[in-house]
Amino acid sequence: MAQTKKIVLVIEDEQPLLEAIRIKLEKCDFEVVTARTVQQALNYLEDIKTVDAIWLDHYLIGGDSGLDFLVKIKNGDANLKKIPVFVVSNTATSDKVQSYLQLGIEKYYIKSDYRLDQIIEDIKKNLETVNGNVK
Amino acid sequence: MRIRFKFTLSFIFLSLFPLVVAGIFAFQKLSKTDILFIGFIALLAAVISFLVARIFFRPISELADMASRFQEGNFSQKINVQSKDEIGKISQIFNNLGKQLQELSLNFEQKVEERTVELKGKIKDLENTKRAILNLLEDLEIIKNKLETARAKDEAILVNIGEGLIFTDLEKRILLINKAGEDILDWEEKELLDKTWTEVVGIKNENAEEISSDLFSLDKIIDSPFIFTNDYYYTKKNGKIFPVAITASKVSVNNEPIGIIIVFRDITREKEIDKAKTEFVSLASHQLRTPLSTINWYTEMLLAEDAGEINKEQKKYLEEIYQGSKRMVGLVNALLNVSRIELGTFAIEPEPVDLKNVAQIVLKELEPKIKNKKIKIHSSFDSNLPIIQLDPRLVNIIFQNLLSNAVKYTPSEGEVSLTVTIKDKDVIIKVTDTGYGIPLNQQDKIFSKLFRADNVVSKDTEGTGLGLYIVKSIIDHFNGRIWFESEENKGTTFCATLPLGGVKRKEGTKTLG
Repeated sequence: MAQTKKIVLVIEDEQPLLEAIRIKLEKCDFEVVTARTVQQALNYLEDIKTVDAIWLDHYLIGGDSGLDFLVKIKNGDANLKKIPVFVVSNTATSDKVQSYLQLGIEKYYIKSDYRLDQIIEDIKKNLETVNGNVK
Repeated sequence: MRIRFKFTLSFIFLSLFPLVVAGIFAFQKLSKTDILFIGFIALLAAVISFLVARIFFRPISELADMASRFQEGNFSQKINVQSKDEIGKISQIFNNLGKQLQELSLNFEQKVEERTVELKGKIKDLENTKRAILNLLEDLEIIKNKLETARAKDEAILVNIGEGLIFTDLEKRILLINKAGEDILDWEEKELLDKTWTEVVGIKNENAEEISSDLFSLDKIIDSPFIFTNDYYYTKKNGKIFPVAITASKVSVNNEPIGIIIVFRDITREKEIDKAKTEFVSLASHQLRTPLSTINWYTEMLLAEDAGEINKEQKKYLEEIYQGSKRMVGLVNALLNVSRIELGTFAIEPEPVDLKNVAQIVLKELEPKIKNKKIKIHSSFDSNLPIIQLDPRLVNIIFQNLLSNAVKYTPSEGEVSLTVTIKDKDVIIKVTDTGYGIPLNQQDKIFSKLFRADNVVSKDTEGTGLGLYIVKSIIDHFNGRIWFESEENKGTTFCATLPLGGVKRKEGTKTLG
């Protein structure tokens, strides 16, 4: 069982929430990198080539939103495009949800309606499928 | 008679005249006897003259009399004709002439009389016509005055309404623009006459790109009662664009279209307010939910003992915090839904929906509560239930509210049944419970916002009074119906219809959920 831990990049501007997500993910055996701006997140992706999943909020610190981030990675290299993205946000405008879904994300969660463990369960399942089928 | 007498006298006088002259010359030399003789001869001559005059001149004199009467218009006399000589013939001709003239005169008089009657009739007709024309003129004057008043009124309205107004012919050439229109566009009427409306206002989209003029094609305008849009922009004289609400409709005379009337209004301000409202709801949804998420997630972790073991009492307290926070999330969601419904900003996004599947998921979510209250659930679905184009989120809200209400407002060990059937062009969702029921005097308020019936307020403290209001709003948008029957302490049945044909997409900035 010396399997390396899966890495999740969490992009969330609210410090307390970011902290909660990090703690819960680590409890669930993930390795976590956290970012609060789009640029920070892109830098991490540049440095760590083995990010397995991305947890993305919509509103972030700085001018760019989660949508801008998603556009950048979906237009980036093939490896970046493949990383599954889970958008967890309280901003549920229909046009935004549509834009995210069109760009290709796994799921859009309304933050206040879901428990942490529900979302993490979904991420786990998703990565297991990817593991079994692709890797 | 007079004429004849004059003739006779003059004749006698003429015949006597030589005798008298001869007598005067001879008188001095003659004896008494001679004188007597001469006197006798003279008398005799006079008598003979008289008789001759009578015989020869009387008829001529009578003819002269007759001619003179003819002249006076008297054609009725006759001459007694005895002789067969020329005078007799002339008299006969005169008699005939008199007769013919009399006949002619009689005919003529009759005709004149007839014509006179006719003429009188015509004069009367003319007088009637004249009177009628005068009346007509009077009426026309009244109508003219009325028309002038109406025209003045129309003009006053056109000039004073705040909306811009353009009237064009069927080629869309501008025939009239009112003051407000001139002000909105910065053009003057005289600069615009005979130019095409669409060319002048340059209809554009929000990115200032010209749009196809198909939207306002003549056919479309003629075929529909009116065309309304507030999605486009007009261009001012200086090239600046502004959002505009446009209503275009045809103007018809005797059912024949003669022109187009376009009413328009600068809606910059409305658009700004709309945007501000939408942004507020968006911001509120984000801002209210974020702290709730923090409470939820940390409580969740404490309860999961991620931060170390907790005792039973701590667990109980944390459960309360967690439930309270969950309720708060529910309330925020419901309020946001209401604000979206009221702003009209919520979207309907049709997708193929399996109603049975949605209902079963909702029932599964309710399972803990159902089990907790030992409520019996019956559900049945029409075996021919098709997949329908509905918005799954909205359908979920309908089932969620109707079923959770039934469970919430039914005492322990009661029954709740759900049937989904097809009738005509509708799907009927029927939810029946054996619950507390709705008091009769409050049944008319049951779909009102924030209303909760008296009999359940004390039994269940979690309700918001928003659920049925939201459900009804959604069903209204689906063109469905919702109704109920209820008796206090016996139970309630809610029925809702959804169109089998599905619903149309409605653009909006928000989804309900």
